[in-house]
Amino acid sequence: MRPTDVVSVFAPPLLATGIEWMVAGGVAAIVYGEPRFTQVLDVVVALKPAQGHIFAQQFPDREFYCAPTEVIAEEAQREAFGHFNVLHLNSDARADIYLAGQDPLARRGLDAKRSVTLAGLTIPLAPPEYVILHKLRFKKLGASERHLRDIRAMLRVLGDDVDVASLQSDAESMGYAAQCIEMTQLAE
Amino acid sequence: MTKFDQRDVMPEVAERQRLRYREMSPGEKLALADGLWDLAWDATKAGVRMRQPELNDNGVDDQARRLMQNASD
Repeated sequence: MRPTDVVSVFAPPLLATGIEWMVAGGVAAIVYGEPRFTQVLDVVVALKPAQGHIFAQQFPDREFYCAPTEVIAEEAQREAFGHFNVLHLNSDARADIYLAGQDPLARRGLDAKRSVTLAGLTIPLAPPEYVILHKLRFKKLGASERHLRDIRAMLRVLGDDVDVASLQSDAESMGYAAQCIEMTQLAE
Repeated sequence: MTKFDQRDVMPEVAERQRLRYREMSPGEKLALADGLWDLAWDATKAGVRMRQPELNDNGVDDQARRLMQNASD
C-alpha cells in the first residue's frame, strides 16, 4: 500500500507545480513543538490567478478532488486569505491551501522558509513565528483550542529560539490583541 | 485523529470526506492510523535534528521519544 500520510500524498504534486509554497499548520507545529496526529496539510502557496490550471493539473481527478480552476482563480484574486481544499480520494487526507495574495505576513513567512526532510522528501517549512501567527489568526476566527495547544507546545519546546516580544508586537499590529494576551500567558 | 475545523473545509470536500470514512474498511483505517503515527514520529525527529544538529541518530531518537512521552495530548 502506498504511504497515506499527508506529506507523502501532497508534497510530490506540490513540488511538481514549480510554484513557491511552504508547510504551516499542524505538521509544522509537530516539527517545532510536540507530536500529535494530523490528516491535514496546511500549505501557503504564492499562487497567481493565472496559475490555477498549473496547480490543478498536478492533482488529477482519478486520485484527488481539487477545487475547480475558476474557484482557485477567484480565491487567488483575493488580497489575502484566499483558500481552497484538495482531497486525496483514497486516504481522505486533505490539504488546506492558503493563498499568499498580497498578505505581508505570508510573504515574510515565504521569504524565511526553511527546508526539512519528512517522509523522505525535502519540503519547504514555514518559520515558527509564521506558524504561531497563522494559528493566532484561526483562534481569532473562533477555531478550536487545538491551535492554542500547538502554540503552547511550540513555545515550550523552542524556548529562547522564538522572540516572544517580537511575536507579540506582530500579533498586536495584526489586531490579535486578545489572542496575544492568551499567547503571553501560554509562554509563561 | 484531528477534529475537522469545518470553517476551513469546502462543503463538497467535507461531504466527500464523510462518505469516504463511512466506506473505509477497518484495515484501511488501521493503515491510515499507521501513516499518522509514522508522520508524527518523522516530524518530531526532524524538529529535534533542526534544534540539535550535533546529535547522532540515537540521540535524535532519544529526544523524540522524550517529546512523545511528554506530549500534552
